[in-house]
Amino acid sequence: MIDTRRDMIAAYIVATTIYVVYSISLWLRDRRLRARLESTREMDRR
Amino acid sequence: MTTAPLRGAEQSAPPHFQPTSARQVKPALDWLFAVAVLAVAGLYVRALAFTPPDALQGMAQKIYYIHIAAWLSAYLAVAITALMSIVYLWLHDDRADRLAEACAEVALIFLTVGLCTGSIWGHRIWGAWWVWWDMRLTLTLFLWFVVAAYLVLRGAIEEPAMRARYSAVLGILAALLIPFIHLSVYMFSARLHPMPVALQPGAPKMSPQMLVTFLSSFVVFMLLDIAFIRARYRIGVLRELAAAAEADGGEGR
Repeated sequence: MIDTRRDMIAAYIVATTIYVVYSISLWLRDRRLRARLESTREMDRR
Repeated sequence: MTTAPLRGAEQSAPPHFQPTSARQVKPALDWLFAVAVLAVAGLYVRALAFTPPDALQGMAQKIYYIHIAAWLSAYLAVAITALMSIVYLWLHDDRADRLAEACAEVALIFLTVGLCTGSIWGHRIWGAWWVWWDMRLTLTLFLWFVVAAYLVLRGAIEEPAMRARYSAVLGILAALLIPFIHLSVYMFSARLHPMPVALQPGAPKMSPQMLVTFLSSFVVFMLLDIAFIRARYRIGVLRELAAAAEADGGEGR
């Protein structure tokens, strides 16, 4: 059996990093859009 | 201030709930996302610590558990994009267009994971990061570009109805590639990809422990797929609400 542990670890790290970065981007977009809506509402109230 | 309902509400055949404020839209990452993250963590533990390595490929075979699951999740997302595109062209319901967009973005993420993990596996097992003459590889890269083009097209067209219509056509075309990709190992002799080991007629060619991990990976990543799609759909709703509120505020001021 060939030693392929490094390749396996690399693949899992790459996949997990992509999922984590995408999750963070979703969370940031959600937060930014809610803040934008809130500021529009504030401006309208004034 | 009266926030305008999302565009398209008047076009939709059945009356449906239209959120008018951010509070009515649930957080993008909710309990389903938390469950999916826990399931992925559990799958990683099972795959890395409790599933035996392959006799020939060694630990590299464990890449299958994330690689093939990523492809199936991408196929599911592309298939929903196509289905929602057909629904949009038929009913002109903006919810279908929004869901198609969400699915396309998530599909691109899973396609990218599939390409990267496959390339790492191929580097060790085939001795090459990429092989252009393998039809499955070439067709999957083509699918990646079609889905990327779908998202670029959406960003390039400002008029909503035109954007939804044009991108719907591209969304349907993207899904037409999936059967060719799946059957490419049967259709073309120019291939390096192995024949199916689990999703094939007859008994799977792997140990029961591996098979359980393999099938669990499909379920777990499908769950993550659905959690991502739901989160991205909610962001689409918020984005349209923000645009409508700004337009409404601009007219009022």
